[in-house]
Amino acid sequence: MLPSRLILLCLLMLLPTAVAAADFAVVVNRENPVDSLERDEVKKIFLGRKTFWSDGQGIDVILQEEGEVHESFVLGIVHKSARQFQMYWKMALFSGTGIPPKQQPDSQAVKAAVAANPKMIGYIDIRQLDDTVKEVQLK
Amino acid sequence: MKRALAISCIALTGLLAPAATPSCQAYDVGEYLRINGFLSQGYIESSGNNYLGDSLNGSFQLNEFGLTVNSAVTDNLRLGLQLLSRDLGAEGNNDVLIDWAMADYRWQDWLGIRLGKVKLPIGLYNQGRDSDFLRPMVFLPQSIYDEGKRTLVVAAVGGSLYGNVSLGRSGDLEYQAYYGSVDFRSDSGQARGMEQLAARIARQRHLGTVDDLEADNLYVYGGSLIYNPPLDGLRAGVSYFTGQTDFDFDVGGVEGDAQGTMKDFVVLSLEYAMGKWHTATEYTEQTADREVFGADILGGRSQGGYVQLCYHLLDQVGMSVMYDVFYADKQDHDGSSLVAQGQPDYLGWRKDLGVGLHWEVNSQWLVKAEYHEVDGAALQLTIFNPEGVERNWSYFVLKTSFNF
Repeated sequence: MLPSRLILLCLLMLLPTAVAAADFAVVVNRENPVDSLERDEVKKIFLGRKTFWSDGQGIDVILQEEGEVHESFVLGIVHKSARQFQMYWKMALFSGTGIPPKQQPDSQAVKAAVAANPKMIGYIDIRQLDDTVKEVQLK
Repeated sequence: MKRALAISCIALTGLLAPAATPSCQAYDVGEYLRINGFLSQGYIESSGNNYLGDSLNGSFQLNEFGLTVNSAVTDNLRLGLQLLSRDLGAEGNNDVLIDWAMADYRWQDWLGIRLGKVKLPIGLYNQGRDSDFLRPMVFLPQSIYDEGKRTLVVAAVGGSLYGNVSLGRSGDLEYQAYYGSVDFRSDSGQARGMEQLAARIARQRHLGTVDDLEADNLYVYGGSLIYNPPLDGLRAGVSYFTGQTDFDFDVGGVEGDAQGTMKDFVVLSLEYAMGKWHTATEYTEQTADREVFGADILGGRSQGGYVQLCYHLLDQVGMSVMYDVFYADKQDHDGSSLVAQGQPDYLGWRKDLGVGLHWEVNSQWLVKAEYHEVDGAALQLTIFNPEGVERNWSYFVLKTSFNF
């Protein structure tokens, strides 16, 4: 009895910290010709490993500061917890190898920033998706 | 008394910190200028031996202050600077120095160039070693990130090439390659280690006392490869470093010279993060050759490595355990050649078992406490213990850090 409980406990300890699942949409400016991206490409963009669009323009990344949509996005696409994602960018910042993306407080602010910048990519609460921005289909 | 003061200060930090805004991040000055920074203060106390300074009586000489300025001038060009003030026992003394300062031009994702003073990629963590909050324990494992060798390996004035090469569905490969020279400080561990060695040889040869040591690094070069496979959370890396330094000093009224070469410093690295777990292990070998008064002092090829395991008990609280081993000579693990020279065998190894707790009060504040039991006195422990070193010793550290 005891070993099985111990094994169960060990398995539970391996699980990531639970986060509330929130549906998100990856969005770009309506002028951006990109309609779809591989999920791995999106991951690389948000980790700063892919920094140029296919036309040679730089990619401007925008994050949300915190919240369910942010946690759901970084876990679902970047495959890191919000804390791990933050530490990843702090390491880049203080070692001189990169600048963390700018942040906005919520989906509305991200949407407004993306709508104003043809090079920008972000993520928003899917319930707030409208025609001011373009949703990128994830393959 | 000092210990009580340290615990009080750290506890006060913990009480006050939640009142600080948890929303971190930079101060943006206009559209293009971003300012970040960090500060930390620690307390170290040891028994058996002094470690990194006068730690037997407890010491607050354990801090870092950093200010980072970045500007993304264009899509391809970034300018950046980090000022760093640190105190670590006898080293640093809170002088404000340029930690790194560079122009970073990224032509494509697979090729960029950094010119200026660049941080050196050795192992997985050398580039971030001065930012306490980037790691679970106060000190990085000393077998690889030896504080006594920090000056030579932390950053160099020169340049580096870097990039990220996509391997398709097999992941991607990050590379960095650098060449430059190091601004060598006379209070660095290497300079004091060389001074101690030259003084010992001068005594043996009745040449007089050694004074006014100056160091001039000729070059450092190396590089690193980090493979990010499709398995999330896994990284594997290899890095290489070689550097050579000349030393001049006064011995008994006449000029003396010496040369130190750290060559073929290789680190193999593996890191895996999954859920609440974070594990890392690294293995290293390096050769330290020194020439003093024209005579070769061959240090042999050293060997070391560690395993570190970190588990998050709660969202904000984690515990770590680390076992770190260093041998001064991989062909002489039991130190028999040191005994033949009339020295204690335990100068030939250092085995450090450490356990620690860290508390992320919020995204900006971090508090750590840890305890280490150590067997052996390698890695220049004699510098801090001129009266002699003990084989078995211990130290504990309290530290708090803030970053924005």
